[in-house]
Amino acid sequence: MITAIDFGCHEIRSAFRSPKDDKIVNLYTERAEYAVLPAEDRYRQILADKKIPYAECEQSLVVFGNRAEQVRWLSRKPCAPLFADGKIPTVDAPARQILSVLTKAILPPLKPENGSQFCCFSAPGNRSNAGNSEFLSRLIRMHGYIPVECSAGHAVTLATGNETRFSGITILIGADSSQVSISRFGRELASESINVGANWIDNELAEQFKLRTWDESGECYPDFSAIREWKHDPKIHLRNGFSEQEKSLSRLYGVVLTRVARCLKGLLQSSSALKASKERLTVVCAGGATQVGGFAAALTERFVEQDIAGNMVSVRIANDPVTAVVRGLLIQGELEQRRVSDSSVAA
Amino acid sequence: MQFGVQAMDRLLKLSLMLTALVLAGNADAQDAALYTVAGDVPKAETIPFDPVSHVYVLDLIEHSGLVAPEGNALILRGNPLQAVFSDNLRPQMTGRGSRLMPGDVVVFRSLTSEPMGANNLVMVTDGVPQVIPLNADDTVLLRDVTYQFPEHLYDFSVTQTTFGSARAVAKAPNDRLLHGDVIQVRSRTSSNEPRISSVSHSSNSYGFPDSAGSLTGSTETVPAKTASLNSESVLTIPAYSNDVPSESSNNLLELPTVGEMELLPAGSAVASSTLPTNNKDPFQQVSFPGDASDDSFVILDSADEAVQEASTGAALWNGVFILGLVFALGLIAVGWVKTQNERKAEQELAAKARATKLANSKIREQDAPVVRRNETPLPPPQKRHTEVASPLVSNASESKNKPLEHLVLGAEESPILSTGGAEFNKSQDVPVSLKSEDLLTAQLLSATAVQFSEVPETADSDSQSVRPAKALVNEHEWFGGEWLKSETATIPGSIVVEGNREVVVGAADLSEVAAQVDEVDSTAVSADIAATDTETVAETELQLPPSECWSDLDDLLQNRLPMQLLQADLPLKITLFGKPTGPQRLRIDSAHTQIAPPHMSMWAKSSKRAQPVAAATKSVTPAKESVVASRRTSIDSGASDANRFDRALNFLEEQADT
Repeated sequence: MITAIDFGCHEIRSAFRSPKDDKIVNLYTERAEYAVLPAEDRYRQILADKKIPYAECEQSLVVFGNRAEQVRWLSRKPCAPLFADGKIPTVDAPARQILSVLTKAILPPLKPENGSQFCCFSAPGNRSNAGNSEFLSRLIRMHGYIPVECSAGHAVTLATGNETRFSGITILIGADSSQVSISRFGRELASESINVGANWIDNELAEQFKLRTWDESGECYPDFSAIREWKHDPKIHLRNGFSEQEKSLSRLYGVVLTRVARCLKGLLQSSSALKASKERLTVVCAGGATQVGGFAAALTERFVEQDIAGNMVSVRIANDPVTAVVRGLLIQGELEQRRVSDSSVAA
Repeated sequence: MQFGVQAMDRLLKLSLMLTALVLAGNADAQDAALYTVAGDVPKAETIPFDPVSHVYVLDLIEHSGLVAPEGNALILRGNPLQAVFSDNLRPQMTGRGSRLMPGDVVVFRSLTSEPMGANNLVMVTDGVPQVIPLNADDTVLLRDVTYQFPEHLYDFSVTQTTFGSARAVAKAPNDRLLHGDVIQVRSRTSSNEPRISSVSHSSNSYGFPDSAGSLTGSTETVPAKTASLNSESVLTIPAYSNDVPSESSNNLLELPTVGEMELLPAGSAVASSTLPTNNKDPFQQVSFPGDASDDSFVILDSADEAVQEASTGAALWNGVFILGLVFALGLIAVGWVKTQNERKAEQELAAKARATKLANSKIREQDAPVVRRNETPLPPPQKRHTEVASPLVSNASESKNKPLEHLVLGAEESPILSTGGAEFNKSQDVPVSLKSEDLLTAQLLSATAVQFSEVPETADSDSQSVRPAKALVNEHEWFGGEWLKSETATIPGSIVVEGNREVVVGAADLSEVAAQVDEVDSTAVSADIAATDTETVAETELQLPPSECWSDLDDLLQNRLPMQLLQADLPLKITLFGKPTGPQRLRIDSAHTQIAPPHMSMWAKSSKRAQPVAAATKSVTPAKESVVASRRTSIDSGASDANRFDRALNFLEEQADT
């Protein structure tokens, strides 16, 4: 069974065709974070009563995945990310083990009759981080699948490029990093990663507006969950901000988009993308951060500032900006299976 | 000869004059930056601003007479005009909206029902905007506005604006124009066609033909309907009858012809109508034939010898220049030939290497009868990832309908396929006979056409990428045993897709994967050789997959498959090794702890305390002063009780004094 896993810094998603019906894609989505509770019997009792999966660690209880957000109020501590700074945790042993548990849970059971064992995945952050790729590859291999790594930008091209003959520019704004990719007829000509994403915006907002939360012992934490909840308000618009917080959000998005536009300008001038830059390209944006109102207009404004708007035909948000990566990975996996079967026929 | 030189001289003067005119025009344009506001505003017009000042949307709209606007301002910019911003304006907004650039066109759409000015549209001719008010019944056709621009010389594009958006629409000359439309007129050639800016400056009122005037062939100018809109660049459009032939309207506009703009020699009052128009000699038209006694002609006659000398010198220089050019071309040709030879030699060397490797390959040994076995075997090629992959989809127009079939078959972009010269024909059920070299090429050109490199050993080949992952997992972690087992387990290697390349990394069972890799690697090498025409491979029959198998992927590509969200089945209780680090804490400075002695603040307090003590000792005896001094020293070295003791002593001394 061909499976795709998008290891995002905010959520981990896996997709595969339903074993019962090929016309349905099964999707698992788990938050890439965990909540820490004190190792007390009353908390154990609550978790057991509510049938919430948890893990027992040294002096603490850990609830991970989607349930973490539900129980974090018990300790009043915010959730901790599994991929801190977009990297595999090196000092957080439970986080690594939680990654293994989640990977196993979102992979379909491996059966011989299911055919191919390809698991196409994208690692968080940029692809230059070989540690991430190696760890996740071995994690997938440990569960019996053949890992096939693919860049998230290329996956978005596959998922959204049907109408543009898989040519154009893909911009993926992730939680911890952003990726810009230029493709022509399905071939990735140039790509680059920027180490800023939506988390940087949240961090800056929390710092500027002193959005903090305290736990029982008086420790202070930035209140990211409140910021994310506020950002998901459909009334928020980057172009028509009235409150100071909205204006700050618009400014911070502007900083990120300026970097993206500058990076894209450099890519368009590079020799590898010379063939594509002669044509006017379609820009497709994906990622959770692109769902805010006015994103396309703000990006267009930055393109005009960088004097590259003439190279673009249009700027649009993907129809499924959140699941585009995992769908593209699934496409990549199915293409890979066809390639292998064709090569076996040829042999 | 004399006549030609004369004509050239006149042409030179003419070009200088035109250049001066263009520069002067640019200088005028630089004096003021033009901004255009149209739409639901009381006074739609093109407004000049100081080029160094910053102009915002609200400035422009307020300048047009609308205070505290409520609506949407659409900003069009560039050439061709494109909507770049859309500002929602409200009366209570504090900002001034988006900043504008010179040449911007702002179309405002109001949300209120206040009476505005006449309906209008904007026509931009070669970058010069003009506001054209519409008549009351809005029955203005496109040809009414653009009749003075011949269709074979100008391109027209109409941008229809609505509330917050704009889209380009294709309109025929007989289509009606709407309020807020933006028409862009661009000349197809950069010839000396008259620009609308010069036309508008030539007359204050500019008329469109009405039926009577056009029928009589007379030129009539209709004044603008509203005086407030009657600026130099404002055109008014009266009702237009469809019966009027469009050709007759050309008479209405008396455009300055090229001949009128030329420099005329002094004293020669040659009317433009007298210029020859059907003369075959192009120079004759601009040479202003006149009397032989024309002053300029006389001057040229006297300077004939000098001109001849100059032409001889010029011919010499021309010859030198041509010789130099030929020499440079020769150098380029020699360099090109040398490069070709070098490339050819490199290709031959590479082909020999590949052929040698192919000869050693078990799989391709039987199918490769023509291999240069006489050549000295070269060492096997190093690991390399050649970018021979092809695009996913071909450039064919039908690829939009059947994108997946082109993933395998379409390879118009591929240089390999073109050199291979194979023709891929595919029907749904009929098996296709292909040469195996073409098949191999097609494999390379498939969606993830890749080359597998040799399998690097995980622990040795890429220590930088493997060691951290190894070192990460502690053996005490609950899955540590499985993790360590996975190092030696028989699991195929993982594949890293980089664009269209793949590299096999981290395989445990090297023998199994190595066989697979050798197979694919030899496939890739064979394709390279096929591309260089150094090998002949036997034909094989291929049963291509039917198109039905692509339809599933087609649904996935077009996002037609529904996604069913499932809940992951996590274990209810597990035990994990280690202590979680938890969320990131903010470092807030805590209160200062007790400062270690000596406490400088205590000294400051004691010095303050010392003053009243000193004042009290003014009346005491020297013996008492020594006592006080001794007490002071005790204060300096004592604790907080010393202050209290000192105070008590002062009290006693005061009582003793009284």
